[in-house]
Amino acid sequence: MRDLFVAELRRFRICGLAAVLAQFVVLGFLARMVDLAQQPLLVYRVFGAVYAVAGLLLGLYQMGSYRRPNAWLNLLHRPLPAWRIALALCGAGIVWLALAVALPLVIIAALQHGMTARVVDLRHWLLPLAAWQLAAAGYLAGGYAMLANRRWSACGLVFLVWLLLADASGGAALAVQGLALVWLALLVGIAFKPDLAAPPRRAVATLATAVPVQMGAYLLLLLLGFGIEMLWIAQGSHPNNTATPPVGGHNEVERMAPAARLLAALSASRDAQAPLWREQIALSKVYALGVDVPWRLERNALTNHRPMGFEDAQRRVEWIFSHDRMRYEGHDLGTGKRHGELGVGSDDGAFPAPAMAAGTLPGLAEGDAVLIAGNTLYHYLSETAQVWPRLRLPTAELLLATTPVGEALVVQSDHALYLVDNGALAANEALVQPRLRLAIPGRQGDLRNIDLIELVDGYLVSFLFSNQSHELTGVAPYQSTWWWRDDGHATEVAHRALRFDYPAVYRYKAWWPSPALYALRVGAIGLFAAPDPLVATTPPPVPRSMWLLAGLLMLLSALGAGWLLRRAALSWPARAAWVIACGAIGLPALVSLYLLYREPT
Amino acid sequence: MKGWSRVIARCLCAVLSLPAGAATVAATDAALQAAVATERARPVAPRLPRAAFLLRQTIAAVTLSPDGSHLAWFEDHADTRSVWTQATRHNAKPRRLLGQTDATTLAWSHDGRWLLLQSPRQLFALATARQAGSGIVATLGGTTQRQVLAVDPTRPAAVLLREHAPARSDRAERWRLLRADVRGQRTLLRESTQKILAAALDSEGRLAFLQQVDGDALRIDRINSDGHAQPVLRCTELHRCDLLPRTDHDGRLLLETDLGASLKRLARLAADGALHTLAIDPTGIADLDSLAIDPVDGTPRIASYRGTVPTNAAVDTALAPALAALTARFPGRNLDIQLAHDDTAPWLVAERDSTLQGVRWHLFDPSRERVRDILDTAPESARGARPAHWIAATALARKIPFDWHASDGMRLHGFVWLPPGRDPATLPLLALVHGGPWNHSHPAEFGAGYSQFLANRGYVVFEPNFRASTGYGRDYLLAAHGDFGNGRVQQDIVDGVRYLLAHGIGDAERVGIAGASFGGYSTLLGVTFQPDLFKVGIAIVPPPDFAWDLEWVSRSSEALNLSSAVPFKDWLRMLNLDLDNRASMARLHAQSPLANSDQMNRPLLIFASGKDRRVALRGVLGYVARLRLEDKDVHLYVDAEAGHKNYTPLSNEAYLYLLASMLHQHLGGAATTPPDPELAAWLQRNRRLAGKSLFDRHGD
Repeated sequence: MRDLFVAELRRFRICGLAAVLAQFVVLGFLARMVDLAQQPLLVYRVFGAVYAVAGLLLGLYQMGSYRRPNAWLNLLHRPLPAWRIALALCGAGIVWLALAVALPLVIIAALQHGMTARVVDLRHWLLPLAAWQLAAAGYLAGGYAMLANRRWSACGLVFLVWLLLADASGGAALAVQGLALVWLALLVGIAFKPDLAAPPRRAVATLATAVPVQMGAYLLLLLLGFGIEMLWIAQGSHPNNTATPPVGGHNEVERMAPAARLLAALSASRDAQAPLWREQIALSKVYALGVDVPWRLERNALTNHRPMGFEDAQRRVEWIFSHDRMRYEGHDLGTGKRHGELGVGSDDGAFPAPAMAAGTLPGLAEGDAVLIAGNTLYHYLSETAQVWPRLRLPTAELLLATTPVGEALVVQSDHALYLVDNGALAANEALVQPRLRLAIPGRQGDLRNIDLIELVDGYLVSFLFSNQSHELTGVAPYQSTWWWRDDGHATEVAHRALRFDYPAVYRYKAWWPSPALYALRVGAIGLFAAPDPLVATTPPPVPRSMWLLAGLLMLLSALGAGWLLRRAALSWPARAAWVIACGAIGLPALVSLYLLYREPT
Repeated sequence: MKGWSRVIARCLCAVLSLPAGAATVAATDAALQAAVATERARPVAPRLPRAAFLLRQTIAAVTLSPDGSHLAWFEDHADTRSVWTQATRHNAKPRRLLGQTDATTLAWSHDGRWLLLQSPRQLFALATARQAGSGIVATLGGTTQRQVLAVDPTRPAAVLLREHAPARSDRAERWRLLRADVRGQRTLLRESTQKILAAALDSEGRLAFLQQVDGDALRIDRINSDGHAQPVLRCTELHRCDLLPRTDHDGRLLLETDLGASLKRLARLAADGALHTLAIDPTGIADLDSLAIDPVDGTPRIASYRGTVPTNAAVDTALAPALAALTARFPGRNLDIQLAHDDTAPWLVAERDSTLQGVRWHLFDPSRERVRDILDTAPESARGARPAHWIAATALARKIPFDWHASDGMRLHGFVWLPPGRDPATLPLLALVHGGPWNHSHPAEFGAGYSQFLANRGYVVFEPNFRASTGYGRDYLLAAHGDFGNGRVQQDIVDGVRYLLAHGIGDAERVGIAGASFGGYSTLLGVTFQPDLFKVGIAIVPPPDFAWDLEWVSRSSEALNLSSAVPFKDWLRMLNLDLDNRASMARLHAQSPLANSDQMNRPLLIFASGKDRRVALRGVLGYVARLRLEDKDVHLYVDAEAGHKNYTPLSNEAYLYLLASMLHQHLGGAATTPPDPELAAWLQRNRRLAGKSLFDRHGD
């Protein structure tokens, strides 16, 4: 085994060393140009995709070179168990991936840590491991694609899709990657047998193979739906692309300018003041509130949605947030030298949550910045190079945005709007209390727009909840309009239910092909991830018609399974299990049964 | 300015500080009739283009060096401001010291070797004798709200600074008084938990007196040599107490105050705490407006009063003959005098008058009593910065002061502009109400040019200094007793209009009302509650509900700017506008134009500003929305980028154009000249609502 392992290492030495060198040169060049630890998410995704594809190609090539019948027989006729041969081959591939992918990353991180003032946190040291796991997952998926029966061998790619979509971050993300690796390794082990075309025989192997095959079939069904949607768009009647959106639907409201949207919301009002408000909308500036922090910031997340720093142009210092220290670390923009540490208050205390430069405050001086961390808004003062908390929301809330509205600041959390007077903010540098609070009448994940105008006696605020209404996760769309008075009271003055623009069969397209696999998909994507309040929605119950459709498909799948299994060389319990599985899982299970046990023609 | 004067000067609005006039005192009906007759006997003025009233002076902030040997000034061309200096001797050549600056004020250091250029962001010391060391003395503003209190009158080249350490989560707020020299060296003179307002230094440069905010009062402490503070004076209930920055030779405090009286005067605080008056308006009408002070020893030498007619009086009797000669040379003119320490050095005199567009500068030789004109440069057009010419005085109306008795018997002051050579009884009349309300229309000043423009278009313009106006003493200021609804103050304006009509000035069937800020509010009140008198209204940045707007301001950051001394709400309470008094606020709400929009039945033009921090745009829009819903004839223009004061040349010309168009349509004055394409574009861009009368068709 050791000889085989060493031989395999030698076999790839030239291209392996070339990959190490290429990766090192590319990373070294980029590290001179930018701070690789502070790139937006897209950059990390591109790197991850490159590593996964590189691994995939290696797996395809390496296993492809042994898959020819003669080569395969030669390989397996060694005095070693098949699993040890697999271990030797895969071990060599994975070692090369570690050298080519992870080692240059470790070296670059070490150089950045040792030779610059840039921030290198524990999470950055874990990036090489994550990169290697991605490459290894690609490698095993490629190897499995080459070794297993062509009818289902591509199902290993399902794990790469999983890693792309998984919500887990930090150490949890590494665990998800590890789980995918283990499953892929198991698949390769199952496939590493003399008869490569034969389906798995043992129950565990069958289950381990059937689940990704079914999930692959499920994904293909979704892709098929996507293709149909493309045709729908091309045909010109898709609600998103028609010249005139369907009347009374959420698409119509989403496409409106803020003033028109507010007027539409008010059309449902019976309040005596509604005519006056309509006049005032026509005259007023309508504030469309946006979100400054659209993502949940988690400590020790491996990547950034956007760089975790800000520049103080007055002092010529860039401050980068360190997850390890939970403080900012500064470096001089001219010399690159370390400029010290920045925490909260005069003693530079740690931030209670990862901070991001976002939002605004009235009267900011040049070089000043506003920072949002968890439920707190901070003011960075360039003049003193200190950070002071200015506004703290209830602990359970996440501060998402600030919008100047007239002589006040509207602060948005995932639960409520707050109004803080500029006078209170400008009077000192201490914590201020909001003067008004308005609970958001819905969930953050459903919220698409907030439009607001100033009235003489307060504000008119309209919420549009339709963000996910084109899918099964979204709430039934509606507009809720509130008269938010300066005396602290708030009254809903209009509630306008909107129509779904898409038929249920479209909205539930991820559900009715297989409610079970949809649940598995949701569970897999959320595995090890903390609940994210920013995407929380209030979906309506699944319509009866969709239940009927899904039930019908499951019934047909069970019947189809019975028909497919009539001549299959399977035991009676195995047949029963498949029929039950197809009845419970639906079409994807039937597809997997067909792919695994179809009689050769 | 210091203390309460500064507080009041920073009052709400006062955009239209409306101009000046030459000076026949019409203290009686006969005097007014005589002035009317004089104006009627003048030749009719030619009709002048709008832009002629909106010229920009290229010379600004002229200042005399402490020894009187040099002048310094800003010169403005297009968007560039430069700094110049020139010796005061004959035939001296001007020298440019700095090619570009964003400074807004200019002052000499005590030794006369530095010019201190102050901008909102910094104080810059500029060498005048080619010595090294020019540079930033201190940054200003920012979180410390650092500001210059005064040039240090006891050190060769230093200033007094005040800075604020705002309250934070870990500490209470603190205030610091500092001395900073031109090299940036700073010395802490005093630190306090109470807001420091002003300081007076003794001849040794030691801090002798300190003025601080103590609750809702101003407290003056004597600072002993051991640093111990001993309260010596307390100014409560809006009594004005403005410290001069240097004590007299015996270490006694000099201050401008109305303590113990109504009029603000120059007084000296004796060791026993008694106040001794040194100068007060001899006519008993006006507050002390300004002092000409010896720049070296700090001695006040000339006092100026600007109530109904501008007057100067010698505090130092040695200057009386020369001052008499100077005022004889410029009778009735509004003269602002700067002195040097040397009695033989020339005086710098700024001359203003209602028939004098721009300021004229002179050097007056007190020993030979001769005047030399200086800095006589041509103005520029406000738009385009093209060379222009001042309007000849013969073509301009005069700002005639007169008094009337209100219906409750109180004697009130105001001004009227009459188109020269016309019978005023046949002319439309416009009441142009000043902002504030704690402000006033100044005597013998050209002002912003609005009144002159309207007079040139054939309108009689009335500028009332109704009760609550400043400049006529504390009793006059507080006489409104908070009655700012459709009450006493509005009645003062109505009484003034009726007084003029009764005296054959203005056509009673053609009366309009206009104003900015509080003047705009008064305009809304006029067209709502006195429609029989006011046939049309033009309101610029008007609060439609005065009480509501004050509440709104109290929550805004502008309240901090307005309450430079005591907190904003305390300041208002002492002006009889207690925001926490529900009954009085409810009364103001009930009497507001907003609450009575259904009664507004006159054509109305409203201008509002998108970044107005004193009059909430939301209030204006809410009011207009109500009028619109009630199908009233209202026009609305909103300049989204403008603040409470809109000085952009294009906006000013748009105001003039629309003002004249509206008055022409509804009062029958002269027709307007069509706007040029740039002005038409402004009108198109900023018109938020067109009323029923399409008077501004040309702007479409």
